[in-house]
Amino acid sequence: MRKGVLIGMAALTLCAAPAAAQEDDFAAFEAEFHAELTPQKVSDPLRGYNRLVFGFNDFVYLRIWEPSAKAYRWVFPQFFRMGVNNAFRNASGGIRFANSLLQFKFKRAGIELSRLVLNTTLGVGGLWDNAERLGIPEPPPEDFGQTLGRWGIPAGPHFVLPLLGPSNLRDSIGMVPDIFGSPFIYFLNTYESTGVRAGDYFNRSSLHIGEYSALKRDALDPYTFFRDAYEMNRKKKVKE
Amino acid sequence: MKILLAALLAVLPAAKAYAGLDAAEDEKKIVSRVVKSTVDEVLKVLQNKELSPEARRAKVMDIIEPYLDYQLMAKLTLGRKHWPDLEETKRDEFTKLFVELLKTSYFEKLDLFTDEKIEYQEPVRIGNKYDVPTKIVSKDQRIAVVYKLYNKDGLWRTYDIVIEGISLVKSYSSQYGEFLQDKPFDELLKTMRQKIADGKAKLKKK
Repeated sequence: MRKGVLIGMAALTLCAAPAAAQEDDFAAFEAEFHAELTPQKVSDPLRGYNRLVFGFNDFVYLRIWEPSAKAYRWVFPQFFRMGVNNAFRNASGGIRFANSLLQFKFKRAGIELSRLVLNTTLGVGGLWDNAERLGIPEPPPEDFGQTLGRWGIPAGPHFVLPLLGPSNLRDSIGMVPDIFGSPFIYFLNTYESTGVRAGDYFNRSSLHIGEYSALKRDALDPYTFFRDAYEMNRKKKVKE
Repeated sequence: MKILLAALLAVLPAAKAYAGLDAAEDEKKIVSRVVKSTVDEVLKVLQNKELSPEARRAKVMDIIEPYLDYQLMAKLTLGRKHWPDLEETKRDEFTKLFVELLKTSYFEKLDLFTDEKIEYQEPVRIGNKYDVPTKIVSKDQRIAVVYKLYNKDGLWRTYDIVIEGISLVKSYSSQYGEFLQDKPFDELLKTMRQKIADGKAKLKKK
């Protein structure tokens, strides 16, 4: 009788051990992967709308935007497109400077300012990133959405913007002040400056052809992937 | 005699603390070395133009396999909600498919690698694990890649890779979790098999 109980207990322990070992594994990574390990519904209240707009953006990007950017890439050599990119990056230096200040990141603000001055003068309107060559590379870029995040404002629901792509409530609202930090609206009308912005995105797309498709291929569910990737990336940006 | 003993006892805790510091420094060096030597070896293989793409991929897998704990990654991806309820055979099958998926997507990225340089930064200790930050520097951007390592039976292995803040395990976990909210597990396996087949077909084209 006792032997039976002992064997029974031994058998139970053997069965429990792997389960316990598993639970150990989960416990060891609990802190880091809490949201993933414990059953939790992901918060995405605007999911229906988001998926629709995502599908629309996906279609426009793959069928219209990227093919045009490919043609543009075929016509214009890389150093030209890099130059245009540099000029646009330089033009938005004021935004990065202001947002660094607002977050009390004075050293970073200083670097942005010196880069702006160096590149506008030596780099002929920002066409060349000479500051980088002189050993002052671009620090992590700051925008008003990140400033709001730094001030403790939560991201809010995920929110896909038509044509502009994934965003969240805080970052979308944050885009507005940044528009006023861009030099273009001060001498162009609304249509022209929108056109200029579009030109910036278009030129940038020509430098990253194929990346969207590659990332999309990896994903089991592209919408979920891009949503989470966006939010995780923003969290990192707010932190740094 | 007693005074000597007291003096020794007083020094011991300090000595222990100092030894503890040394051990932490050593750990950092080991973890750094693991990442650096592995990544450098992989880069060497990638830059070896004499090998065929398949040979290169096989070599790269040989190099990283001992340091990548993909069984753990598979387990963390499914989490407490799904993993414990699965039978052994389903778990094994999922892990196998998960690894294949990681490989096919990783190999596709490898082919895009040309002459980027890697910057290694100081490992950061988090609890009993380490984050090893690196940067992939290309002509127009710097991409932050953090390798997260933990220690299993004396060997440091990677359990997650975070690219520009995006954690591999978290993004897979989220996608699979949402998938399994309305579809059965077997459908997940089927979708994974399909993705692997598509991925392999794409690689063959190159």
